[in-house]
Amino acid sequence: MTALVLSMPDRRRVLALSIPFLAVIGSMAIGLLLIAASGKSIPDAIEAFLDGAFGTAFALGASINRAVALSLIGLGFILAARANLTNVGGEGQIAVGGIAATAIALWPPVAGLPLGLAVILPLLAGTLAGAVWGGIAGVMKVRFGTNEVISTLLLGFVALLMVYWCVQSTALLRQPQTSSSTLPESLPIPDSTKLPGLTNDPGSPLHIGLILCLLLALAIAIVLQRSTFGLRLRAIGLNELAARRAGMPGSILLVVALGIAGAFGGLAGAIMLQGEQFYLKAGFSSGYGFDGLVVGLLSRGSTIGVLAGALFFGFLRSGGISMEIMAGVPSALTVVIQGLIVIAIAGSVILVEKLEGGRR
Amino acid sequence: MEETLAIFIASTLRLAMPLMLAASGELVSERAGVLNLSLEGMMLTAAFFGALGSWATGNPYLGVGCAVGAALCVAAVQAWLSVNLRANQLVIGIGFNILALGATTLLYRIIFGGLSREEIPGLPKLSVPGLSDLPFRRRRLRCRSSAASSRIAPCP
Repeated sequence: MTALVLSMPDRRRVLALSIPFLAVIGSMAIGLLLIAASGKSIPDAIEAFLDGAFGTAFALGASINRAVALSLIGLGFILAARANLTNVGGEGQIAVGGIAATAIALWPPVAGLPLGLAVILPLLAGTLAGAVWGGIAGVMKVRFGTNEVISTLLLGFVALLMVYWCVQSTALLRQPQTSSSTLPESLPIPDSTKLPGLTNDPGSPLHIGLILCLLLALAIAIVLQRSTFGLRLRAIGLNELAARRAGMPGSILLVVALGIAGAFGGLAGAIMLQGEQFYLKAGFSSGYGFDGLVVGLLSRGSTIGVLAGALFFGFLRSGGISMEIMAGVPSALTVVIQGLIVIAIAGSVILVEKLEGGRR
Repeated sequence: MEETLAIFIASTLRLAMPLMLAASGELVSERAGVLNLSLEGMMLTAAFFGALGSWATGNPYLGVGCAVGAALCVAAVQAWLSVNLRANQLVIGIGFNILALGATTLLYRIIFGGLSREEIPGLPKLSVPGLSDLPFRRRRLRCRSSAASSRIAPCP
């Protein structure tokens, strides 16, 4: 390492690290070709993309807020993945988190609480709801052997329809129907329950969810790498039988792992609701759960990887929306690019492993 | 009452058809130990190219051919990635679902424009011998051999 020239293993390592970036660049190049093929101007599209992703304080804040929701899902995912559990239910956990946060935020006594409790209680309610939703899948797994991929996915559909039910029924969360044009939405939550902004700039939607997310990312990294709990999760994930024989409480660990993954999803839902949307409506989770799952999968268990991936997907989503509005590029194109990126990164893993394998 | 029942049974069979077809395909890959999570994406691709083929040629059977061909191409790429390159099957499946949703929506917008009311030729109704003769008073138990609706609808 004293020489300026990289030694052979280091060069391999750099190559291995650069492969995901090459995959992303390749996918984006295909996207540009598609934009050109659809007869739109490429410079316009790129300008619109950059503008929408981080051109203004508003755009940057919106992108980061998106990334916060995605990272929370991704962090929960990698924790459960450590125990060899695949949490596909992020979308549903966001949904139940959003329902619980709205319900608590709209409960009259909460809005007047001091010391930030008005903000914290709905967040906690969302987290708890998500934890229960994830925990159900965990209990089903340890009691009945239900595959958690199936159960979390199906619980997700149940949760999405529960949102629909909540906003359709005035007995639940629908706003009072004053006219026939009252939309099936909840009342907006009171100002005191909204997440405080991070900057004094009223033009920036950036809220304290970012701080919360970074703290939780740190906590997850420490738990996974430095704690007994993290080690036990890993043991369960690598060989459940051996871990149980070694005296670890296998069933409890599995339920808790899925519960925590769910809690992160629920918190993401509460943050989305209290940070940006402010009222509950059907389909408010709009694919964040699945994007977060992809972020978690692509990070290969690394906390930094989750944050980087979430930020990237956040920019991609914001930029894509802006490309549609400003440059007339169909938003479906961003979806295509996103799909290509996921496939390209996943497909190039074998190359990365080969290069890293040569190091050992 | 009888009529309602007949409609109910016929539509149950009609709606179960795509599920049965897709699930049989999934069964084959599950037997081989491959998780095909992109069933949704494959169906979406096939639906789009089936409609496109049928609309372009005017022949619904050629449309079915296009649909199968398109889905085969998707499946081949997916198989190469998840078997030869040993990519994570879950990620690849989700990736293809996202890609199919985006690509079909994009192609629809490019080929048909914003909202089209283009009629596409559908498959003929099928009367199953014996089953169609069941004694329902007014309406015979008939079942469409294709679940595809005969209009191209924009993807959400």
